[in-house]
Amino acid sequence: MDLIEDMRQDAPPLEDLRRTPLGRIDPARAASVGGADTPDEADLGRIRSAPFGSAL
Amino acid sequence: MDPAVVTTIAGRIAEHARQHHLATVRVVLHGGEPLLAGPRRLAEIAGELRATVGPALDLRMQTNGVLLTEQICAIAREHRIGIGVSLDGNLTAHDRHRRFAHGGGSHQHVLRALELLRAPANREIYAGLLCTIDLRNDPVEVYRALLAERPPRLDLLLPHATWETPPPAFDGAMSYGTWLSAVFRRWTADGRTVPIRIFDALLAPGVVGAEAVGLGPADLVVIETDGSYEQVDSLKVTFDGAAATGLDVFGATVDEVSAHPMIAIRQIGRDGLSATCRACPVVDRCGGGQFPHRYRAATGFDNPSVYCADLKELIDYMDERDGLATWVRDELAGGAGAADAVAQLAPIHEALARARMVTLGRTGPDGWAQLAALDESAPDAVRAVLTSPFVRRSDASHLANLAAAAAIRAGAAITVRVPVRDGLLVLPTLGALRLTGADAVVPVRTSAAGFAVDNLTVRLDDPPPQWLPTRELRPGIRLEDTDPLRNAYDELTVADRLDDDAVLAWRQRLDAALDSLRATAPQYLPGITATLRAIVPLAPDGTGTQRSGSARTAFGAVAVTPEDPDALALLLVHEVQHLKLGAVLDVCPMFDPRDPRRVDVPWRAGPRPIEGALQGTYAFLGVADVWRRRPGPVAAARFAALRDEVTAALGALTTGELLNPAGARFAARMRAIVDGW
Ligand code: SF4
Repeated sequence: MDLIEDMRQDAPPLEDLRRTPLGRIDPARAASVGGADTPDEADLGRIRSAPFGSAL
Repeated sequence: MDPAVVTTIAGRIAEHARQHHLATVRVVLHGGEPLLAGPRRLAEIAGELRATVGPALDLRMQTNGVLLTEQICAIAREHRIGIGVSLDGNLTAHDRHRRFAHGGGSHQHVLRALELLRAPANREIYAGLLCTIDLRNDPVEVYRALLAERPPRLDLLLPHATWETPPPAFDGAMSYGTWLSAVFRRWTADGRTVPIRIFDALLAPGVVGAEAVGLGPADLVVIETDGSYEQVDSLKVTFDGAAATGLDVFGATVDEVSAHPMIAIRQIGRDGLSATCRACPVVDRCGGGQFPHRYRAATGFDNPSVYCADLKELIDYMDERDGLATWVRDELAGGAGAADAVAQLAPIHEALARARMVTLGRTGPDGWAQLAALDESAPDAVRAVLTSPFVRRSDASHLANLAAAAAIRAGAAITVRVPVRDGLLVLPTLGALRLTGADAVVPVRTSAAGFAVDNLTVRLDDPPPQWLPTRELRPGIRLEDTDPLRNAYDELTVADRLDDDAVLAWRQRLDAALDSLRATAPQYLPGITATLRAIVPLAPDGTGTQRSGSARTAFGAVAVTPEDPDALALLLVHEVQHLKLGAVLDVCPMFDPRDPRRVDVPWRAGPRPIEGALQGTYAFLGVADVWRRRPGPVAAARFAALRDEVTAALGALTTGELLNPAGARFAARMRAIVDGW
C-alpha cells in the first residue's frame, strides 16, 4: 500500500517539470507555472531584486 | 438502432455543426454495450455518420471491451473510431463490478481487448481508459494497473451518487479525496506521462474540459436508440425520468434540446450553481462537481456536489503539491531551515528554468530543438546547465548558448547559431569566448573536446587566450564575473572580470566566511550548501559600504562586495535567506502581487512593497540569529537591535491583511521564533 496517510511530502514541488523531457512538457503547463519569472507593471507588491547596502 | 433513426441523428448533428461552425463534433457510441450491435451494424452507423457529418466528426466508442475483436478494430481503423475501454484496475478491482451474468469476471477479456488495441496498427484507435473508483482498491495499485495497459489517456470517475443515494462507503476506507490525492501524488512523481482528465481539468481549468469538474458549459446530449434526446445518462441515478427531455430527433433540433431548462442552467457557469458553490474559493476549478452528484430531493440540483469534501480535499492537496508543503514552509520560517527542507528549494528553480525553456522554445528559436534532444540523450549535461542561476533571465536567443554549453558537456557534436553579446560568446557554466568585431550570430560546432567558431577551434583543456573560463571558488560554487546576464541587481554595480589573484582572494575569503559560520552558526550551512551556486563580485564604491544583492529570478547567485570573512558570512546569510524565501514565493504566493500598499521597515528609509518588507524581515531574522550565536558584547548589542527591528517589521506586516493565509502563517512562525529568543 502506498497511501498518503503520511501527508508529509519528501518530493519537492513541480516534480513533473523536472522529470518530463523538455520537448514533451506541455507548453500550457510551463506557462501556468512561469508567472513568477515575468512580473508585469501592475505587480506593485513585488520586487525584482533585493539590494542591500550598509553594514550588518 | 433503426436505420431511419441513424439517418435522422446524422442529419441533426450535421445541421448543428453547420449552424454553429463547429470545428469538431464528438460523437460517442456507448452503452449498454455498443459492440452488441455487431461489426456490420457498427460499420454502417459509422459510415453514415461520417458521410453526413463530414470531417468535423470525431467518432468514439466506449466499450467494456469484452466483444472487441480484430475485425472490429479493422472497422474502427477504417472509420476512424476511437475506442475507449472501461477498466477498473487489476483483476480484483475490475472484477468486483464487471462480471458476466454467470458470475465470471471480465478482467481477462478486457486485457485481451487492450492487447489488441496496443498493437502498433491499432494505436491510433486506442482512445484511452475509463476507471470508476472503488475505495476498496488501493489507489496506486489501480493507477499502476491502468498504466500497464499503456493508454494514451485515462480518466478516473467518481461513482454515481447523489445526496439521496450517497457514494458507497466502506468501513475503514479512506475518502474519495484521499484516494484521488494518492493517485495524483504518484502521477506527479512519475512525471505525469499519461494525461488523466480529472487532474488536467483541475490543473488547467477552461483549457481541459471534463464533465466531472469545472465551470465549462455542458455540451453533451444523449440520443437513445429510439431517437429520443436525453440529458447525461448519469442523471438517471437522481430520480425516475430525470434524464428525459420529452424531445426526439424527429421533432427537435439540437438547439431546441439545449434550451431545456436543465441543460440551459449548465451553460451559464458559476451563475447556475448553488450559493455555497458560488462563494467557494475553489469554484473556478471544481465548478460544483458533476451535475447529477448535486441532487437532493428537496432542493433539486441547487446544492454542492455530494463529493464536495472530496473535491476540496483533492484541490487543496494539488495546490499544496504544486506549491510547497506546509512542513517545509514552517521549517524555513524558523530561520535556517533543516537540510531536508532547504533541499526542496533548488528543484523549484530547476523546474521553473525548464518551464521557461519550454515557453521560450514555443516559437522554435535556434538551440531549442538541440536542447530538447540533448535533454533526452544527455539529461545530466542539460541539467548542469539549466540549474545555473541566470537561466531564468534568458530570452529566446539565449537557448542557443545553453544548447551549445550542454552539448559540450555531453560530448555531443551539434551545430547551432549562437548570438554574441558585448563581444562575448557565452557558454553558461563553461565560460565565454571574446570575439572582436560587431555583435552577431555565429555558427558554433561543438565536440567532446570543446567547440569551433569559424576558423577558431577552442579546446577546453588547452584553450586560446580569447577563452575566459568559468572559475570555481569551491566545488559547486562558481565565480560569475563574465556572463552579461549576471547584471541582475537594481542599484548595484557588478565587477568586471577578475584577474587570477583576485579569484584566489575570493576563494580564501569564501572559505574563511564559511569557517566563521561553522564556528558560530552552523545551522545556516545546509541552507547555503543547498542554495549557493555562484558569487557575483560587486564593484566596491570606495565608501567602504558593504553591498550585496539577490534577485528573484537568479536563484543560487549572491552578488556581494569583497569583505572580511565575518562580514561576508553575515552578507551570505542575509542573501541566502532572500534566495530561500524567493524560491518559496515562486510556488507559494504569500501576498497579492498587485497590492500597491507599502510597509514601513526600520532598516530602510521609505516604505517598501510587501515583498520587499517580507524579504527584509526574513533576511534580518537570519542575520539577527547569527549575531545571537556569536560571543561578546558587540554581538549581543547587534543582536538586540536587529531583534527589535525584526519585531517591528513583523508587527507592520501582520496588520492590515497584507499577507494571505500562507503568508500570515509564515509571519506567525517567524514571530514565534523571535519571541522565543
Ligand atoms: S468544492 Fe464544494 S462548494 Fe466548492 S465548488 Fe466544489 S462542490 Fe461547490
